[in-house]
Amino acid sequence: MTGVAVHLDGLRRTFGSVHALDNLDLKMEPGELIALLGPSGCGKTTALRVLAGLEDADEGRVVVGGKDVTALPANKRDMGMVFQAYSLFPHLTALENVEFGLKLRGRRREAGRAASMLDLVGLSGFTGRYPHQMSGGQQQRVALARALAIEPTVLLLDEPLSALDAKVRVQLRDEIRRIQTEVGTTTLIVTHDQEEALAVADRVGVMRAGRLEQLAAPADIYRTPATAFVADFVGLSNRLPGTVVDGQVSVLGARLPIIDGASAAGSVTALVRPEAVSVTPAEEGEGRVLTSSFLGPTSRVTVTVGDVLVVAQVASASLDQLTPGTAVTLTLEPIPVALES
Amino acid sequence: MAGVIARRARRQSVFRWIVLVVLGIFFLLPLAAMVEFSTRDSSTWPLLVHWSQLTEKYPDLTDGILQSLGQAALTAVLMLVLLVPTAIWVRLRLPKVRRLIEFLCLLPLTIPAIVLVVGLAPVYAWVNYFLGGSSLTLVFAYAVLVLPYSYRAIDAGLSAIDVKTLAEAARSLGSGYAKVMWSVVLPNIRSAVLSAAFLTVALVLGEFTIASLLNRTNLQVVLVLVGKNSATVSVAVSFVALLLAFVLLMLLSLFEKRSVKGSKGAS
Repeated sequence: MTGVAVHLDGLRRTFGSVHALDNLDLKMEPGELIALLGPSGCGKTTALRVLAGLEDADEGRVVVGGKDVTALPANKRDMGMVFQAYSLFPHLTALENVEFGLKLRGRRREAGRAASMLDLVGLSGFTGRYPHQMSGGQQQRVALARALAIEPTVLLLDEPLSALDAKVRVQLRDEIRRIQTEVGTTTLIVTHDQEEALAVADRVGVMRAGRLEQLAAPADIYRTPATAFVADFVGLSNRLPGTVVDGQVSVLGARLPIIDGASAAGSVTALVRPEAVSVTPAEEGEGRVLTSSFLGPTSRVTVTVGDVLVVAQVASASLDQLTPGTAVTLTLEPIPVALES
Repeated sequence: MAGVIARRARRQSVFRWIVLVVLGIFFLLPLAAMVEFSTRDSSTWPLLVHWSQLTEKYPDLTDGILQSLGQAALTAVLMLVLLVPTAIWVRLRLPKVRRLIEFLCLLPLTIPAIVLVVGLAPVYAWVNYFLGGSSLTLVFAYAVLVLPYSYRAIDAGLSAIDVKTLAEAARSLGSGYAKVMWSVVLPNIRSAVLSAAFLTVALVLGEFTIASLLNRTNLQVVLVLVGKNSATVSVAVSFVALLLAFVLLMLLSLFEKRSVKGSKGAS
């Protein structure tokens, strides 16, 4: 199975007065896994449904493998899809579910393909089980096997893990990535879980109001967010008051480079990551620890500096020295920050 | 404390039995009376099991039975052919008109049969003109009459499954809409479809007003006529018809129980 390139060109879709897609452009490389991330109502699911053919775009084109499929109905697009809701056919066993798409293509007898797909998702012993005899995670695995069995040109995953509990979610997330790498199908996953998006995708597209705010590798999205919205949406950010001076922003006495601050001037709000803030106990320090939360290997400390609240990520080992009320000094690492005007 | 709870449980148990016995008498007494009355003439019941003799003696009665069975079967088929695809299509493609369809389907429940006949009479003048005066033409009126019950049954079946997601999953795998309905939705609402069909049959077998006023024949119309000559035969056949409806409703509840059991499982 080899992936194909997918182009979404200038997609527009409105529902009443709401612009679900507002001139959306997205180019996917063959075999790439892109995650669309964004808040509820940002249009990410609509984008995926338009690509699947389950929703019509008002304007724009969908091109898959160089072929314009905009006018093709969903059943002619040859795309595998896994849904947020459990979508296995309740009257069919796991094996029959996986065979469903193969039968439609007259490939039912293709030597054990359905069984090998179930094997791929680690459910070779569950062929005779009905959906109601399987857990949510197992059902989503079968749905993935069913989608992959037809050798789709594109694999579409619409929040496939959101109905599962945390542990299964992480496990299945890693498995999706493994399987996708193995089969090499171009894949689009839609999620509102940033950790999930950052963990599985080759590139992450952050969407807002029907448009892509930024499309970049997970590390770039996190480290160098293109806009304040991306910085604010992906990961935690402190909103700290600052002043732009000579192309840099002065925050809590530190001068930090600006990501997109070419046009910014005067008083601004800088979005500073908690891990860019170091906290050191100091008797004459200007800050006071307000709260501290143990989160496992790292911990989170909230410090007040005058009227400003600053959240810092610290090593859990240093938590004993940072009890509430401790006087501290803050050091900001000179990592480029986004500004909110 | 335990004594109070035990006393209360005993009282409730006694009350339950009293209700059961009173209701049992209420429903079974008329049936027992029917059996008692119909056996006063010893030739009645033997006649009922000899179809040829019955036809010879009461040709209208056997005709009425056959007409009613034909009407029941055809109405069930017509209702399913009309209602199942419509209900599925409305769920999939026209969710906005669902309330309207529900309202339309429930209308026959609010219109008395006699009023319905007044409206149907001119329509049936045309039916007579195009299709003749066969009693089987009643299936058109009956298909409307059974809508409230059958729609409810099918709608409940569709509500129990996520039709939209299942249909979208099937479409993404390559199914057209016909295949989605036949291979995906229909097998999952089988018990609802059976319920709708059973209710239709039970309702049609008991229908009198429309058939009588539109001058058509069915079991109930004939029973009234036969009752004027031989009350025992009329009552015996009524008893059998009642039993049939009872058996149908029992089967219906059996299917529902089985489908509930089938849908329960591991989480």
